[in-house]
Amino acid sequence: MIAVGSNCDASSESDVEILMPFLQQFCTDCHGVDLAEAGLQFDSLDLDFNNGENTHLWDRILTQVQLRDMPPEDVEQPSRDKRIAFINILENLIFESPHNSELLKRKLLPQYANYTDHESLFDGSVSEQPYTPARLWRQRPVIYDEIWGNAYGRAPWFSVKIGGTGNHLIQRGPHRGKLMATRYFQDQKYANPFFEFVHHASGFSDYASIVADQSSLEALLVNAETMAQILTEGQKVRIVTQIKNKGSRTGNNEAMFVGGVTTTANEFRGRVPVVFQSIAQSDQAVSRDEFNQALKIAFALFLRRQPNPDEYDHYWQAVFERNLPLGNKMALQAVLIYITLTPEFVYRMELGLSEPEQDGRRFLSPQELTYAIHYALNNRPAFGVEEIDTVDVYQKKSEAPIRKTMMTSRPAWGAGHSQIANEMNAGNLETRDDVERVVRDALDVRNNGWVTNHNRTYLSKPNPRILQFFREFFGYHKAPEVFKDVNQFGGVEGFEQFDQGSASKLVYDTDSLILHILQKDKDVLFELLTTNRSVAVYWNGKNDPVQIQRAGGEDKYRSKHHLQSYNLDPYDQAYDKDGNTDSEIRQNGIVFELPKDQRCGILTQPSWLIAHSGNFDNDPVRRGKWIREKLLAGSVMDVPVNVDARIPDDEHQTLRQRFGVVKEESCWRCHKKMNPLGMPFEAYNHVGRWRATEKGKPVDTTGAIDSTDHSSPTQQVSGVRPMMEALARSSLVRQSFIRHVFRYFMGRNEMLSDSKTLIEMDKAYVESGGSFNELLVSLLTSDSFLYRK
Amino acid sequence: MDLNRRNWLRGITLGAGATAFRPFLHHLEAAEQGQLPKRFVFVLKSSGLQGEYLNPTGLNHGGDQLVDESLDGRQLPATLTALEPLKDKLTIIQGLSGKMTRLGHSAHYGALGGYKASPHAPPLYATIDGHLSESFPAVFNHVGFKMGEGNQGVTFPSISAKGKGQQLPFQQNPMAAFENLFGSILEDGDLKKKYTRTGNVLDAMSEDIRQLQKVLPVSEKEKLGHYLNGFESLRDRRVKLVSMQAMLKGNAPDLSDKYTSRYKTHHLEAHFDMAAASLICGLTNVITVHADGLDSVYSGIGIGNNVHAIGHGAGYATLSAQDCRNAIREFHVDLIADLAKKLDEVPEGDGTMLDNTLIVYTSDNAAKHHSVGSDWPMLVLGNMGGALKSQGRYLAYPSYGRANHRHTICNWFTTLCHLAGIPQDFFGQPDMALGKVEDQAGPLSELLA
Repeated sequence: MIAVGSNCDASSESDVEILMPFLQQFCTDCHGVDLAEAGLQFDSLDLDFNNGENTHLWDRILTQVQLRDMPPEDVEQPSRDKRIAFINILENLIFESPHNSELLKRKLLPQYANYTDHESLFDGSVSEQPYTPARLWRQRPVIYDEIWGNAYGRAPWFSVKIGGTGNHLIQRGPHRGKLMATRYFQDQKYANPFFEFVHHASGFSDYASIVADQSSLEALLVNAETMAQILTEGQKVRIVTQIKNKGSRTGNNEAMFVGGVTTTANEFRGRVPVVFQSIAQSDQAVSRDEFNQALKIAFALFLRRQPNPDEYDHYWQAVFERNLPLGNKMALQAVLIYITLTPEFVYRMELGLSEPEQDGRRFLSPQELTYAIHYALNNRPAFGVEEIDTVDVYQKKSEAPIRKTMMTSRPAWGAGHSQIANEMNAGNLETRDDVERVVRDALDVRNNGWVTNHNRTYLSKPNPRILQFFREFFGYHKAPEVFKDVNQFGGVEGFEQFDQGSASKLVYDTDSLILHILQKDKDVLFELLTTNRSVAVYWNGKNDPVQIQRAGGEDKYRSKHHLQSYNLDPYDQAYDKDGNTDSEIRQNGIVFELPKDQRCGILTQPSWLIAHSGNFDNDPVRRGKWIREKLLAGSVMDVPVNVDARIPDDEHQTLRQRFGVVKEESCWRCHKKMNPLGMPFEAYNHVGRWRATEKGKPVDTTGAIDSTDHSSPTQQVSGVRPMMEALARSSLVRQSFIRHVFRYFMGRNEMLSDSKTLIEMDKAYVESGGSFNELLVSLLTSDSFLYRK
Repeated sequence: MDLNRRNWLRGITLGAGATAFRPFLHHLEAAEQGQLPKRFVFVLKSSGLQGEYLNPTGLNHGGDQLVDESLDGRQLPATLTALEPLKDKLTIIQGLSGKMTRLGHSAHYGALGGYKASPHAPPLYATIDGHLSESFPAVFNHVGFKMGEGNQGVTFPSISAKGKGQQLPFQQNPMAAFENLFGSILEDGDLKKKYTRTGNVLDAMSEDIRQLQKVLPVSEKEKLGHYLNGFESLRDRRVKLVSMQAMLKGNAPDLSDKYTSRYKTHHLEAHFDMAAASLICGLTNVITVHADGLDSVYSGIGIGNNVHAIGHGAGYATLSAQDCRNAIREFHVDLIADLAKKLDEVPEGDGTMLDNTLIVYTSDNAAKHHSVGSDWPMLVLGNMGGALKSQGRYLAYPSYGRANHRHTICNWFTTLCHLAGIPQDFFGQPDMALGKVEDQAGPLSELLA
């Protein structure tokens, strides 16, 4: 189901006519009998693709030609037509061969998506109508958490302390007259069956090529057993009662007092569906009617739909009756367990359930559309759970605080339908026009400000997957994962402002800056790459005397202040956020304008710089690789296994000087794709603060840009701003960005047949003056998104 | 157990289910070719393992030079008395630091992972037990036991992980653990019912998935195939367990009162019995016992307040808090010695199973109830057929903050990887305060033969 070389029709005759002469003209001079460079000799290569070794060698040649690493720059180059024909024919032959696994991997995994020829995608030469192969898409871990975590994933325990301090006076029983303190703990304790897939190069965490396997199943089984008990008997709660006695004394934490007598009991709490309880508690035969009611609820809870007539019979025979010898409760629990192991629960199905059109493509059904659109933008289930008759499990007449906690007013699974699901239920989601209307409605959300912080993360924003795209595309959210030795930073110029919590705060700053840019929705990519603005969400504009005193005086307060990460002085920038006349500032704080020669876009945000740095130094290689892959649609080979990728230590040299070693020919072949793009960021220290000098001399920020296809000459740049502005104006960069948008929201690599979609996206973006919303509308109403084949 | 394990396995494989038993035969043949199986048991206590109570007579840790002495001729401290007969297989390691973890009351995944972890967030990386279990697959790759209050079946104490976001479950209720490990030999009762139900569900589901596969395009058929394989592996496991009936019946612990006792200490005893049986039957190669939690009460050995209270200095009845801590440690050591003896009675290769097993006793919170991680004692039993250079050895590394200190629990985990034959130079996160990351690489060279 993978389309390769869709616009070519290779017969064996033309294969020979194209492949062999290409090889002879461009390759065998160096890889022939006389000179087998890199130990590779192609003169004995033939077209037997049943031969594994042979195919493997062809595959290596294919990637080298695709990446334009071969033939090398300084020798004769094939014409574009020749190159494309060679690639297409060779891809088809390898694809048809039994030894196609490497090629398949590259087609499916995001880190190889740039292998597809950029120019072919955008030059309009592909005539095929776009579609997505019919597919299963493994449940996204965060959506499983939404369905599972709160309702079935908690291990609650209840701490009850009697005789110490407390706010409840016990009314009766042996402890009457004593004070009681209670605290309910319910940490989530369960394993998410679906590991989060993140490839270091692509950064994307959800892709349709990911599978569920045995470890997923084992975790699903364990979780399902717990769930089945919660839904039939209630949530088990361990109640730990500690009673103060003579020997006990006050401690300093949750125990409140230490010693005394401890007793433990288990009770059940929560609400279970009435029909579940009646089946589980009865030892009489269960009627079909009763069973059907129960199945309907079980489907509503986990599959969020009604069972069809066949399923009533199937579940009755294959699951319920089969387990009836074990008793009613066991049999009902088996049904519940079964549902949460079904492929439908584990994989979202996108098969295209409408009638096929003439060309064999099928439009998504209304339900498939609902999932596709909702999950493109959200991390919550698309469908909610309608009202279910439930009964409270806990019936004891215990002390009021215990009773209050144990008696839940609302079942843990409670959730409404999404807006898109409501549209579908009303029959308003069937055509492309419907999709456009629904998508525009979803994007046109009431704006609640752009600020994110640890209490209001991107997940709490409307359409959280949009900001998540920018996080995964830029990768700045990884800043807290890079260890910095903050204990050594005290008194070191340029580092004093950076403490243990700084990296996280800087990430929220960048989140907020991106939302700010998205709110204007104009020239979004250009702004992202060139803005000199910044926000500091953890500062309210005031320089509080208590904080100043705590920091050890004004000078220390100034040098340690978070704003110093942006080279700003908190005294110069002070403002009154809460009392401001501008309501936007009251809500979001001030957007700072930074000197244009110091900051230029997300790549100069400290969060991005830190996320792409080492523990003790900058990392120009990673930064350059990022630009090559994300902005220039290029690719760089992984570090070869025999390369010891370390640069020499020398505290008297700048990092740029120490990097001199990679200019050796064998290193430079790859490093020339990265280092010149990464070096301008030497304008910052490794915690992202701008600096004018390094080792006592003016810092060298020069670099160079070349286009991936060598079509334009290498352009020398004097620093970050000239480089970023040149990149931001490039149509290659814009299209590379659009390819990444496509990948993230489609959950797959672009194919040549997606060309029409990509060209329309590009057009929509340019004609709307750089609106990200229009770009998304274009993608979500495209054939690629709506059709399956 | 007098039988030679090899002959004994062979006897079983000749019977029914020989096919399913083939992996174990491989195991056996490997043993004959000198590739003996490697097994790892980790026992973790809460509230810290106090280093000062692990020093044999005349030896001390906490200096600025390496102390490297034989245990021969030295008397073990009182609470380690049960290990006297096994002294030639004992290694006491002091002075490792673990400041790269997030300590307090527990380092959680950090204790076996060597990184900053929280019980409220998924693990960042595999822990050493999870890592080893993936390298030595068995019927159950990893088995976890945890003594806890309440009778929850499976629990996630945030101690072990086999990868990012992949917490490993621990069996808490001994009855449920028994069902999971030895359920196939049960004749009746609720456990048998649950075991049967799971089998029914697995069977019916694989039929359904096959039906579904028929209507899917090729590539998606494969995608679903991975999931289907999961079902088939679990069913294979059950078939294997059925084929191991003789072995399991001969070695499964008796379902005694311990399993349902109201004293949780009896549960821990049951856990150790099951741990021994699981290793002997070849059900698993890697076991982690999280011996207790801060809320555990050792009433079965006469201590009526919880571990947390004891950690804060509360005694119980006539016992001081330190008396309580000593009693708990001694109880654990007795159980470990008992496990080791059971393994030492089963012949394997030219020696016994214990020769190919490493038991590590430590804490999830370094050396104290409230720890900062500057000292993380490890008590190690077994020497992996001599690969671990110890025939009764005391090693105390220079203490944290001294010039010569650069030894962390991560170096110890790296050592374990080397012993396991899957060497790697780093495990977990480095301690930035100890200088360059490269300087913290590699195993504890003193311990590798």
